[in-house]
Amino acid sequence: MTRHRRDPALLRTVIAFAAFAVLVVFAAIPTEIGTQLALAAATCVMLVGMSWLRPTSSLLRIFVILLTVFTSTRYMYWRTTETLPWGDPLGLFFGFCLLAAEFYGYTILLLSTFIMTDAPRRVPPHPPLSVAKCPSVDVLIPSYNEDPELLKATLIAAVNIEYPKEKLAVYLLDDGGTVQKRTQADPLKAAEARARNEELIALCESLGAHYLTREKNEHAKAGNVNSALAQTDGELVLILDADHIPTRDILTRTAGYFIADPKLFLVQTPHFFINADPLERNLDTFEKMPGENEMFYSVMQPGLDSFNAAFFCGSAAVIRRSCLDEIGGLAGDTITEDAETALELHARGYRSAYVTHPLIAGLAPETYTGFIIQRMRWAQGMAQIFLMKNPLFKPGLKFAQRIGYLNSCFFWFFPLARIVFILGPILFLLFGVHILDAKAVDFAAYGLPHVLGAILLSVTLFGRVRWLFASELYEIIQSVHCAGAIIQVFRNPRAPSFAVTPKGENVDQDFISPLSGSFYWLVFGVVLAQITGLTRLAVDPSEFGKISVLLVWNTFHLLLLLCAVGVMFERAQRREAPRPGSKRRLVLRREADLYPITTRDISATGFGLDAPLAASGVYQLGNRFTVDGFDPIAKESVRIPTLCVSRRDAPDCIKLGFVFEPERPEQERATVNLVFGDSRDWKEFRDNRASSGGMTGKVFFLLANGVERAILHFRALATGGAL
Amino acid sequence: MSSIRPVLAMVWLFGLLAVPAAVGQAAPPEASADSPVSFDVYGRIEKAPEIVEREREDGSVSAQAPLSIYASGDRAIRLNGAEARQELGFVVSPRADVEQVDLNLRHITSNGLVPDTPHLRVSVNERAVAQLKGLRQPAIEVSTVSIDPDYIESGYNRLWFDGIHRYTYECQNPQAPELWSEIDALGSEIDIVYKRRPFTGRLSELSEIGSPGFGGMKTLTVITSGETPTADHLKWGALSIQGFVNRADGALPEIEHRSLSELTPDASNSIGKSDIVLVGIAEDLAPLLGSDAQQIDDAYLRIMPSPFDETAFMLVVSGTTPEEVTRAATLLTRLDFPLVDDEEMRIPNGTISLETAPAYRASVDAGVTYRLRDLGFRDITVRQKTFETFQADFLMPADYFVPDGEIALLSLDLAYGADLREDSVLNIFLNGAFQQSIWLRQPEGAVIPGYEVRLDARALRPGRNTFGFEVVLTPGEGGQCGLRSDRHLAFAMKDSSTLSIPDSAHFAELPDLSLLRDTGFPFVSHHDDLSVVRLMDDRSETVAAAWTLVAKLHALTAASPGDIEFGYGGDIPSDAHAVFVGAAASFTDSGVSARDVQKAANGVRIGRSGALHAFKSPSADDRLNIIVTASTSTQLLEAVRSLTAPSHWSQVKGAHVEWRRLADTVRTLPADDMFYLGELEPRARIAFFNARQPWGFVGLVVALLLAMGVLLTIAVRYLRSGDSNAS
Repeated sequence: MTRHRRDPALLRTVIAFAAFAVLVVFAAIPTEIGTQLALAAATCVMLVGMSWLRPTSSLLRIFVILLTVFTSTRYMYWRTTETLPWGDPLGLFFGFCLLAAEFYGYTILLLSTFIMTDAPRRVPPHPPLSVAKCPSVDVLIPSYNEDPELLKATLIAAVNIEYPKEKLAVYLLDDGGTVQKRTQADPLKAAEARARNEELIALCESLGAHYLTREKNEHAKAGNVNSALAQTDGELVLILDADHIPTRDILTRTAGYFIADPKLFLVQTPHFFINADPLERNLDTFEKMPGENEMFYSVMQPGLDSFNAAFFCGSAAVIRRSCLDEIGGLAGDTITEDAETALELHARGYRSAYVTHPLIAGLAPETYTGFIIQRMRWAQGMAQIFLMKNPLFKPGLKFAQRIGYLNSCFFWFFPLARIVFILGPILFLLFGVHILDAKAVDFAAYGLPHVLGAILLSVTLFGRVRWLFASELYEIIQSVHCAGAIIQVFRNPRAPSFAVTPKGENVDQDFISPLSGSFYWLVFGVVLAQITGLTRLAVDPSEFGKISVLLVWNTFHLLLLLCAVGVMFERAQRREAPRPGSKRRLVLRREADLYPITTRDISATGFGLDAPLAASGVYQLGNRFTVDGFDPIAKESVRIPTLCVSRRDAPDCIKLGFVFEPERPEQERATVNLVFGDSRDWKEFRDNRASSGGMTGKVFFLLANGVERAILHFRALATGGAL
Repeated sequence: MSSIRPVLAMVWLFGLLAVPAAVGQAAPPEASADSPVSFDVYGRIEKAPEIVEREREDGSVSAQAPLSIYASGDRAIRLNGAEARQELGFVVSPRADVEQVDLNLRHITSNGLVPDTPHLRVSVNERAVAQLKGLRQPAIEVSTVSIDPDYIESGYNRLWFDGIHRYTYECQNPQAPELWSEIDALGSEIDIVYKRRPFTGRLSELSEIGSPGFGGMKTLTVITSGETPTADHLKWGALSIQGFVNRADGALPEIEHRSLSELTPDASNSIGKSDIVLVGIAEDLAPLLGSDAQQIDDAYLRIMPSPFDETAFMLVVSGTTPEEVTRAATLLTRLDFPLVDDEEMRIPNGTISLETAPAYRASVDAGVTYRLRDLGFRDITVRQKTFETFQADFLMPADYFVPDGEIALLSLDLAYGADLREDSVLNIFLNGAFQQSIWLRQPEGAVIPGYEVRLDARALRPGRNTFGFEVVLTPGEGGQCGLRSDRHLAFAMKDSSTLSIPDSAHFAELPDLSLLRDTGFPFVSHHDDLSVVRLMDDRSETVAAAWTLVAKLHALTAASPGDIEFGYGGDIPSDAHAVFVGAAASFTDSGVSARDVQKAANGVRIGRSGALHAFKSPSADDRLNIIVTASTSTQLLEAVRSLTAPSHWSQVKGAHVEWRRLADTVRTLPADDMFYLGELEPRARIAFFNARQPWGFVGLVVALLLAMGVLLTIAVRYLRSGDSNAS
C-alpha cells in the first residue's frame, strides 16, 4: 500500500484561497449604511481589543487576520462599486489612479498575509558527518571599487570560516583591476587600477586567499561571478559582497542542507547590517528600531521559504555549482541577477532554503544618495522581472511560488502608489478635483475599520520587526526617485544598467542631501493643500465631511514628508568603522593585572567601554592593554594590543574609547574573529531590537525625531547650509 | 466607572419620564365623551377650537370660528420684527349670502414700542380694514373689527395681519426683540352672519356647490333605493361621494346614509338641511322623484333643490340599468370631464371609459426627471423683499424603495440681483428638514441654470413631499441706518427647474398604517391588486362609516374608488386587500380572522371608541386586511369621522390604532407579524433585511469569521503535524 505524502504548500494554498473566496462572497453582501456603521463599530472594537489583549492563541490570531482581510475586501468592494466619480471625467481619471493605488495596497496586504501567516519554521540541517562527505566550497567575493581595508576584513573572515581547509577556497573577484581597467585610455585611472591590482594580489597572498580578475568588465557582478565560476571547481559556492563579513559558522549552518537535499540549489541567509542606513542614522533610530530589511529577512523570506520560494539576494548565500552550470551561471537579463537566477532555477524544479540566523555582517549605504542608488536598482530589477519574466506565466513554477515571486516583484511598485496617495488629497483640496464620491459617514463606515485593520494586522504580522508607519516612511523616501526609475523600465525594460551601491562612505559633517529638491515641492504642495483645505472647511460646509477626511489623510502625508525631509538632512558619521552596540565580555590585561569588562560597542578598529568610577586610575589616556583573542587558523589564544585613546568622565561611569593595534597577521585574524566571528552576537543584537511593545511611543519617537530633523534641515537651508 | 454612573442615572431618569409619552396610554381623564375639549401637557383642560353655528330666528346663521382653526391649530399668531405678516384664509360658500362679518381680536403688543401709533394692520382680500394700537399694559386688548360684507368673496378669502413696529423714530434694529405683537388665536374669532340662498345651481357648478366653508356643504346624505343597499349601491354611493370630496380638495363632509324605503313623510326632520345624493335604478327612485323618474332613459345626472330643504341640493345619480348608474356615478369622479351647464345631463354609452381613471394628484414615477412645472410649481419671483418662502409639493409612490445612498437630483434654474450682501442665501428644505444652502454672493448678480442639489433619495417619503425654499436677500450697502434702496433685491426660480427621481423597486413592508395614512396604500392605486370593502352589517351608520373611510383614502390622491369591490360579510377573494367595517359584535362568525377580530375588539372594549387593526391576510402572504370597528354602528360612524379628521389621521401609524374622539387619545401599536409587498432584486433584499437587524448581521459576520478561524486553526495544526512528521 502506497502512502502519498501530502504537499503542505499546496494544501496551504488551497485552504487560503478557499477561505479568501468565502470572505469575498461575504464582503460583497450589501448593507445599508446604518448596518455598515454597526459592523464598523464592532470591527473597530474587536480590533482594538485584540490589539490590547495581544492574543497568542492561533485561533484569535487567525481571527484577527480574517477580520482584517474581510474588512479590507469590503472596503475595496465599496470603493470600486460606489465611490468612483462617474459624472466627472477628470475626477474619474484620477479616481481610477487612486483606486489602482489602493488596489496595489490591498493586493500586497493579501499576498503578504498569504505568505507570512503561520509559516512553518525550518528544521536545522544535519551538519556534515565527516570531512570526506563535506562538499567543497568556493567563497567568491566580487569587488569593484571597494577600499582594500574593507576587503581585508572580509577576506580574513572568509579565510577564518570553520570548514575543512582542503574543502574551502576563498577568491577575491576583482573587477576594479581587470585588464580593461588597467589598460584604459585615461593614464591616471589605469595607474590606479594597476596599483589596486597589485595591492589586492599581495593582500590575498598574505591572507591565503586567491585573487581573480578578468579581461573585460562585462555584465557587472553577474559577469564577474560567472567568470570566476569558469576558473574554480568547488561543489558549492558561497557568494559574499565585498562588505559582507561572514561569521565562522556560516558554512556549518548551511552546507548540511545540500547534503540532505540533492535538489537544493540555494541556501540564503539574512543580510545583517552593523551600521545605520540614512534613515536610522539621521533620525537616530539605529539600535532602537529594527532595520529596514529585517521584515524581509525575518518574516518575508521564511514565509517564501515555506512555499519553496525563498530567493537569492546576491550575497550571504550558498549555491550549488552544478545548478548554476545548468543555466550558464548567474542570470544577467535583468539588473537583479540574484532573484532572476533563483527564479530560473525554481522554474527548473530545484529547491531553495532559507536560514533565519544572521551569518554575515554587512554595511548599509551610509548616505541617502547611496541608499537611493541601491533601491533604484532593486526597483528596476524587480520591475524588469515582472515585465520580462513574469512569474505568473513562467513555466515550471508551482502556484505558490508564482504568488511568492509576484509579491516580491509587485511590492516594488510601491513608489507609484505612494505618489498617487500623496497627490490624491492635493488634487481635491487644492484644485477641487473630485477623486472619489463619498461622504464622511461612508468613510467612517468602510474606511475606518479598513485602515485600523491594516495597521493592526501590520502590528500583528510584523510588529516585532517593523515599527508602525516605518514602512510608510521608508517608502516615501524612496518613492520620488524610484517612481521615475520604474517608469523608465516600463518605457524600455532593457534600459537599466547595474549601478554599484557605494559602501563605506564617510560623512564628516552634516549636510543636505542633493536629492532633497523634489521633497521640497511635495511638502510645498501638501502644505498648500492643507491651508486650502482648512480654508474650505471654514467657508464651505457642504463638503465638510469629505474635506475633513482628506485633511486627515493630507496631514498624515505632511508628517511623513517632514520626516522624509528630516532624513534628507544627513548627520555626520566620523567613525571609520561602524560600531554596533554589541556587548562583548572581554578580559583586558595590563601587565599582570586582569580586568574583566563588557564593551559598550565594538568594531573592527576598536571598542567602547563604560568603566566604573572606581577604576579611574587604571584607565588613563594612552594606557596600553591587551585583549585576549582567538586565532582560528592556529587555533590558539592571541593577545591583541589595544590603546586607550579617549576618556570622558560621566556622573556614573567613565566613558572610554580603545583602538586595536594588531601588529602581526594572527593578531589581525584574532581581531576580525573577535568582532565578526560569532554569529550569536549578531542574532542577539538583532533580537534586542525586535519588540512589538510600546508602539505608540515608538511612533511618537519617530515623528518627533523626524520633525526635529526637518526643522534643522529647513534652518540649514535658510542659512545656506550653515547651522 | 464612577463617571458613567451619572450618565446611567440620567438615562434611567429620562427613560422613566419617556415611558408614558411613548406608550401614549396615560392620557388624562376626559371631561366628558362629547365635550370639545383637550388637555395640555400639564393635564389642564382647554377648549378645542371648533366652529359654532347658531341659527337665528330670521333663518340666517351666525357662525363663530376661532382663528386658530385657520392658523394650523396654533394658539397664538406672533408677529415679530419691524415688519411681519401672517396670512390666514377662510372659505365662504357661493351658496351663502354674507350679511355681517366681525373680527373679534384679542391681542397684545410689546411695551417697548413707541406709543400712540397703530401697531397692527388688518386686511381682507388685499384691502385694509383696520389699524389697531396694541395695549401696552399687561392686560390683553379686545378689539372688534367690522368688515364690510362686500369685501368677502365667494370661495377663498385672505385675512392678513401686519405688524408694524417701532421702538424709536430714529434708526432701529429691525430684528430687535422689543418689536412684537401677538394675537390670541384661540380667543379671537371671525363672527360671520350669513343666510343660505334657495338652491339654484347647475351641474357645471358642482365644485362650488360642494365646497366647504361658511354656508357650504357640511353633511352629505346618500339615499339609496330599496330597503338595504346592495353592493352596487355601495359602489355608486362611494363614487358619488368621491366626486364631491375630490372637488373640495379632500375636505370631507359628514356622510350619512338613508334608504329610500325608510324615508317617511316627515323625513325632513332626520335629513334636515343636509345635501343629498340620490342613487339607484330610475324606477326604484320614483318614491322620491315621482314622475320625473320616468324621464330617465340613460345614465343620468340631475341637480335640484332638496325636497326636504330649499337651500340644500339633491343630486340624482341614476340610469335604467346598473351599468348606466355606474357610468353616471363614475362621471362624477372625472374631475377633468366638463359637466354640462344645466341642471341635468345624460351620459350616453361610450362617453367615458369605465376603466378607473388615474389619481388626479398622481405620484411621480421612479427613474423619471420632472420639470417642477409638471409638479404644479410655477415661476417664483421675489422683489424688494428681504425674506420670502415658497414651496413645491409632489407625491411619491407609497411603495417607493431605493437602496441606501441613491441620490435624487434637484436642478434649479435661478437668477438673483446684484449688490446682495454676502449673507444672502437660498435655503432648501425637504419635508421640513434642511438640505442645503445656495450662496447668492456674486456682486454683479447671476443667472444660474441647472444648479444641482444632491439629495439623499431616502429623504423622500411615501405620499406628499414638500420642497421648501427660503430666500434671504440682504442689501449690500448702507448699513443698518444708512440710506438704502431695496429695489435691487430680486430673486427668481424658474419652473423649468427639474427633479430627477432615481429608479426604484416597488416594495413595502406591511402592515404600515402610515402608508395608508399618507397614500391610501395598498387600497388606492396599487397597480392591479384587487381591493375589497366588506361591511359586516347593512345598517346605515355602517354604510356611512365605510363610505367615509373610502372617501378619505381616495381623497389623499384625488383618486376614484372605481376598482374597489364592495360587499357584505367576511368572504373575500384570496388575492384581495380587504377592509372590513362593522360593529364589534357583527364580526362574530363572519369568517374574518378571529384572532385579529379579537385584537381589534379589545381596543373598543377597554373604552376606546374606535379601533383599526391591520394584519396579514390569512389567505395570502402578501395581502393586507384591515378591520375597522367600534362597539355599535352609531359609535362606529362617530369613530370613523373622528379618525378621518386631520388631528387623528395624522397620528395613524403602525398596525393598530385605537382612539376616542379627542386627538390626544390616539394610541398606536406596531405589528407583530410583518410581510412584504413587491419585489426587490436579491442584493437590495439582502441589504433591506440586514438593515432590519444590523446587530444580527454583525453577529453573523463574527460567527462566520470565528467558524473559519476554527477550521483554519485545525488546518494549520494538521499541516504542522505533517511538517513535524516529515522532518
